[in-house]
Amino acid sequence: MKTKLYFIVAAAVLISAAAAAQKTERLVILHTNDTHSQIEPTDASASRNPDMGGYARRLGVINEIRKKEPHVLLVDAGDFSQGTPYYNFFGGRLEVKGYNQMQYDATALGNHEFDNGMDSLATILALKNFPVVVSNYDVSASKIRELVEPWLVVKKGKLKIGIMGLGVEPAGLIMEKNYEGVVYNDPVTTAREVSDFLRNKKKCDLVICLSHLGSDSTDVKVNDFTIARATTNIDVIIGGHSHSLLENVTTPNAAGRRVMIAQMGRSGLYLGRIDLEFTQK
Amino acid sequence: MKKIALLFPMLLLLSCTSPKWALTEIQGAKIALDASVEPTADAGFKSFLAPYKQQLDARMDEVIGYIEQDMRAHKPESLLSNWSADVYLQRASAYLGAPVDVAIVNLGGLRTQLSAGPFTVRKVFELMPFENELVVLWLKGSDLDDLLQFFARIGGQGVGGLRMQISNGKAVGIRVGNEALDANKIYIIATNDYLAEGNDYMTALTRRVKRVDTGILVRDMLLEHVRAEHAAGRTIHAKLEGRIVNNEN
Repeated sequence: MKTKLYFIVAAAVLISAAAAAQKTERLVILHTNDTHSQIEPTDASASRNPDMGGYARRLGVINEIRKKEPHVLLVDAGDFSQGTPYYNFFGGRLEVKGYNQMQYDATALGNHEFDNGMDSLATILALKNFPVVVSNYDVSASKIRELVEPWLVVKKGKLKIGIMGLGVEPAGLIMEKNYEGVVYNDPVTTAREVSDFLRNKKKCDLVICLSHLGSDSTDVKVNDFTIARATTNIDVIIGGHSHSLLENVTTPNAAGRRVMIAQMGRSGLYLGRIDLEFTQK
Repeated sequence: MKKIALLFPMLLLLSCTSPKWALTEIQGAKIALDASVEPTADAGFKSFLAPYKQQLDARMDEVIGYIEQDMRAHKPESLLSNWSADVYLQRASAYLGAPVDVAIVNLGGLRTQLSAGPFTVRKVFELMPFENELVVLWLKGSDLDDLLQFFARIGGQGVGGLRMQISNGKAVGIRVGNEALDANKIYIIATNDYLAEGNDYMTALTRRVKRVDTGILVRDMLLEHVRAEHAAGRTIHAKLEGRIVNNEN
């Protein structure tokens, strides 16, 4: 009887120790930005970055990673529109259909998404099967009001992931007639409010900001580093707009914790990959 | 015995409560989507794209001229912006039937680089994908000076018809044509509607005294220029000639 008791206790301890060892969760974020209608690989005879990118390669690589990794989050920081004749002739339809096939979890809204005006943007966004997230544009009086979200919560395995989006100031950048009805709100205030909401009210384990503000302080007043330093609840900023190549760059947030800022240049020449590990609290 | 039998599920239960996860490790990397990943490229997407590609290629692969040298857009002065600004100057002068003084283009609006070799219709679309048109502005010298001071602060922009130097963040020694900039003179400027509306922080352009929209798409202007040069037996080339010299570098 005593032997049996010891055995049961020992087994229980062993099993709970094994469970403790498994109290980690992995996530892979795959990210792109400013892919600018580079549906095919770049020109093989180009003097810089020849024969790179293209949707078929990106999708192939994404699929390989999805086979190996249980939890993959695929996101884009905006400006999937404009840059090759595909956009001029098919108006963004192929880009949206391509992103559908790649099964993006979310994208931001870049300034070039507005290049053909609001009617065109509403038409192509109606074809999407992925959410477009922008937190600091009030679109309630615009033609895309039903087509974008202010924030998003997605589950990957046991992880609850909050996603917000920041759009760049349209005045001075986008032709005025092309963003009719869109009201720009301060990205710093919005970033604080929405990230705090996602962490504290929605209880997200990870908060990601898809930003089309740019990471380059010489070109824009408010950039990804400004956002990181002004907030306490953003873990990762997936950036765009400045076409910067940023991997493994971190900066301290308002509470002194590191925030990762990642951006993959332009045209989808590279696919960004961030490996994250979580431990149960 | 019953108590001990309960201990087992309880231990398991304890380990499943408090569903909060803390980020403990994070590592970023980039994956180059170069020719080495071509073997895993998605065949389904390629067949989806094929009919669109065929339709586009027929039109885009037409060779309309030859590029003599690699040309890129960069600060303070670049081959690509010089070439582009000169086409603006020529076309706007032809449109007006009078010489235009200055051309202003934005480096960010030149969306690709050109490589020595055939100039295809596709390259023109990649260089100028936007539906912007050629615009002519009449601008007071003092406002032009404001614009150039802004260019000095950001380290350069695309210009034609003028020269300047950047010293201590200021534009100095500005010459339009062969003469020093006159704050009171009205200059004729070739640009596009995007910049004429003050975009890309070129707010000084909105203070123009007169504006004429030509209705000529910038892309069509470039296509026509390349075709005309080719027909005349000339290649596409440009020179760095000190239009904007940054003395701080």
